[in-house]
Amino acid sequence: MQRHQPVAALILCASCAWADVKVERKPLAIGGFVDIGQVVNADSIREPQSESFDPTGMMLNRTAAGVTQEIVVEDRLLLRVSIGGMFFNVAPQIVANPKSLPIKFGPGIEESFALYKWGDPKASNLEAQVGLFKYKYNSDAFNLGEYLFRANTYPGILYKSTWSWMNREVYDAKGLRLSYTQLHGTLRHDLLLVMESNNFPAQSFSPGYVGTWSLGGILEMSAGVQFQHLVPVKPSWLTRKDRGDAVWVEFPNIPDTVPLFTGNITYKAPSKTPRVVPVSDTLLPGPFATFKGDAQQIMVDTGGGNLAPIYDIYPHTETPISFRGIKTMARLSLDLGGMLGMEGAGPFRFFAEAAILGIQDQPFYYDKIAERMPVMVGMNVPTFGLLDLLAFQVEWYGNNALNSMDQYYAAGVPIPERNDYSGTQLKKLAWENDPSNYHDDDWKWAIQAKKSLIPGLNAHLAVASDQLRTVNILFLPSANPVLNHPSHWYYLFRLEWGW
Amino acid sequence: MVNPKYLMARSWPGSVLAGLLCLAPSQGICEDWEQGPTGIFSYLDIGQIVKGTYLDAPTEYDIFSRMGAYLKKDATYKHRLQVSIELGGMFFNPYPPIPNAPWTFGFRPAPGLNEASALYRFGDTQSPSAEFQVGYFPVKYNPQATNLGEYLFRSNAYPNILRSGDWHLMNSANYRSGGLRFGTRHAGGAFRQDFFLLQEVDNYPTSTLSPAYVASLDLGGWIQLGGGVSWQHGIAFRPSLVTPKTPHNRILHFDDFPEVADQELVTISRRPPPNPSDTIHYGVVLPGHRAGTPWDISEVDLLALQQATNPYNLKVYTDVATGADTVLDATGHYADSSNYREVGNRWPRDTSYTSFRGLKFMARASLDFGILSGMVPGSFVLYMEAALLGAQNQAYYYTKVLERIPVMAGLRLPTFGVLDGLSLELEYFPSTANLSSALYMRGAGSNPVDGGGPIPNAPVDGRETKSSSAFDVPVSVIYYDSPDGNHSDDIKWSVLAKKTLFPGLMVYTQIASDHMRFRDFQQELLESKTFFQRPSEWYYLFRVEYGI
Repeated sequence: MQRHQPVAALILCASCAWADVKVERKPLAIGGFVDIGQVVNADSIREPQSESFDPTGMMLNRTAAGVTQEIVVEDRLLLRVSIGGMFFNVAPQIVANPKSLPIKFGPGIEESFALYKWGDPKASNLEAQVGLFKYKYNSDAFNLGEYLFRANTYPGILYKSTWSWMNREVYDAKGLRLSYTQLHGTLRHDLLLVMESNNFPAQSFSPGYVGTWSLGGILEMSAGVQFQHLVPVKPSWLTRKDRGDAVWVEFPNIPDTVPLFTGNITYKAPSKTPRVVPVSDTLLPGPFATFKGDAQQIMVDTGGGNLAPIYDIYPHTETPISFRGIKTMARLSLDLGGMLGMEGAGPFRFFAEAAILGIQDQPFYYDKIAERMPVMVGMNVPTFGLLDLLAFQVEWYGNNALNSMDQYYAAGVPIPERNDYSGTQLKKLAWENDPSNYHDDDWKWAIQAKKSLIPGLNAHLAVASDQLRTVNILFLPSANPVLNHPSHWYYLFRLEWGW
Repeated sequence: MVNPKYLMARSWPGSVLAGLLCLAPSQGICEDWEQGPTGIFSYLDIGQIVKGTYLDAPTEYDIFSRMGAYLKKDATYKHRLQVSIELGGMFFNPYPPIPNAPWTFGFRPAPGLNEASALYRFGDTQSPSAEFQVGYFPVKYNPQATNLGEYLFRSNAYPNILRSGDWHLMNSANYRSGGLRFGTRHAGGAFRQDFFLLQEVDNYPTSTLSPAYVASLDLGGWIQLGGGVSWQHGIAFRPSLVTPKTPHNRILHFDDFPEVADQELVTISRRPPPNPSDTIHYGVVLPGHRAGTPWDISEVDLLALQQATNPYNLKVYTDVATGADTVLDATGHYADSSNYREVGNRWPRDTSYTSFRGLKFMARASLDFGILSGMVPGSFVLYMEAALLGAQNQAYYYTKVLERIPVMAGLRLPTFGVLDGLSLELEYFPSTANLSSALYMRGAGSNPVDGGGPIPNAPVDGRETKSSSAFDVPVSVIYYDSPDGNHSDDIKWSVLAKKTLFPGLMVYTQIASDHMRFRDFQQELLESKTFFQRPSEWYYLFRVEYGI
């Protein structure tokens, strides 16, 4: 038994008496990896802080290392801290910007949490975890999937890990988890209260729940819900009322035919199909809805050649688009190897996951729930000892916008990206000109193989067309994904060690 | 053959290197090293500014959070030489968050080094008569201070800046710095002396060395007395930074300053108004004049002033018609000089420059009622601390020694097992200046020589009467000093409660109106004043801490 208290912890510790506390310190663990890979095919993309660049042929190199210490107190309190750092290159690397060229180092806290178990620590059915910890409800998802916590609702953005491109498809939860198991551990309830750290508005609290039922070790099913941004830091941050393209304005009745004196606008009237009208078109009588910014520019003749915005003339209601949303998830995993008696052949599982990233419709941008439903299916294929793991995944996400964070992340607006940063020239995307919108990036796929070379040394290979993002010169995830078409792909080889 | 470990232990660098090597499991040269346990120190903070001030505007309901994770390891060579490292990092949210600037919201990582030191014990290793410490280590001389106090090292002399939580918003009433410490123990440890040579890490000009001495006396366990002195910036490798000779920092001394009456303005100019481009707008606010009128001075004007042959042609003008407030246009220039009468020209007798260097003194005492009343020692303690932040007066800004004396009193209350500890602290610091680091920190920025100086920030409501014949004025800084001054932020308070839920798992709550400052997205300390400009402005902070 040993005890140590930092200087700061001595404050107000007059009555602390830990001399007889049982403390078990685990050996200090080390881990690290080297990544080498390449983007084989891609299209030009643009970052907000840079010019367009073509990532085709871009090398993917990273080196990381870390140490982990675990301490168990009285057999029931686990303390774990894992810290380290990574060498990486930013993207794009621009010759004219020397700061973007040399290799960078980023420190990191991998995990830092306390986990307490009630009852018998070896067979506890109730535990609480607080701090920064990895949460993963879909143990099969090696690349795609794991939507409930790490994906965003409005706009619906899918992520993969930005800092570690492989073997880290988890949610970095910062907050509290309470777990309770029933039926001899086959039914598990996870209740989470996490603080948003990646999705704006950051620091709001998003409670969530995941229930998992394991049936005979063959079939596992989960379902969950998260109330994203339920408790915001500032309620005013949930919307952007100052942005004309993030506030929907509805006019219950335009009484007469009104000539328009403005540029192209997008509106819905009287059906729900968005319509783009050119300059000097005519506004039909009846209900009419558009964005506040557009409404303020639609000038109508009030008589005598006097022009005034319809926004100022007719009664209307305003609906700001909100970041707040409810996400739901369902998944299943079927152990085919167990069913067929092929346990020794290696992992042989079929798995699937689907989510709704925002069950509520919101005007214009989010009026089709099917466009907010990513679906992933995958399979682990037995290799009869040749490999430790060989897995495939396919994802479909019929979102009609680019999986970009530019509008949302850089401008802090709860609307999807409306500029297409793919292609050698920027072009206006979809929204204004084509209701069918952008679907080039709807399909994703991933393959991963793993082989343990010797104990403590593993080799991994990934080939994928996924939500790969790099890190830009600001040390932020790139706003736009590198791969925006099923024909875009990369490979990544990893040598990983740890003990 | 010479044993490498022997060679390493012959010199301090070698010893430290050997110790660092032996922090990790190894063989050979490390057999005489005893590794300590690897410790964990982590926490999750969530708090809220209930009411505060940022950039002179009210702010409230700002949630803030931080997460720190550190590992600590030490190794001891024959129980005599101990090397320690505590490193890790933190996720913090910058302030202020700006929605359309992603780098200003969310959590930013920051690596952290809490300690990297070597400690050598002389005499009996269990009860050393002396010890020598080198490296980067925490210094805490006031064991009871939870938030306020600990003035001697972490406070600044010129200008007077008090600090409380910075990176660590709670339990950080200490000072971490690089340098040396030599401590001696007498009378069984009842009398303790520590000599320091510490590098200034927070107070500009950084990297200077500040010799210091701290003594403490334990009388029977229930009375503790302490005192100390620090010669801040005493050893400077670049003396010009300690006393910058810049227009920004220059003080003019006039022996024959004319009598001026109420509603009068004073200007320094190369030529009389109304030529505004030649007018150096320097303000001395006289009774009846509205304080805080912004008279900015441009860098061009400063340079012109500096280069002129007889630059300090003093002229005093009296507004005979409308009062002082009406005579300046929007740019701060004289719109019309017809309402003024010229009082006379004066030339300064001398010039001087304000210095960052200063002597700080500290005294403290504590009385443990717990021992007296048979309760748990340390559970019921009255304690106090006072300091003099700059013993020397300096012209114009630092003429009243009482304004440089912060006083703190605290009370640790018994909770009879309900809590581990409950502390209340109250501070009084009658400085007339706002405790802003604005001008000062600007001096520590990209242009340290020309940009800043050891001058305080202007109080909000200060006024001054200057009608004597001897008069010191600063050249360029608009400063409204007065016996009234700004005293809205004189009183600070703090409450800290701690409860251990389980060995290694603690919760804290701190409610305070203190000197907390945040950092921006570049990890820079905010230039602004603290968030809490009056006692009614406060925050709460909740912490879950785990470590052992």
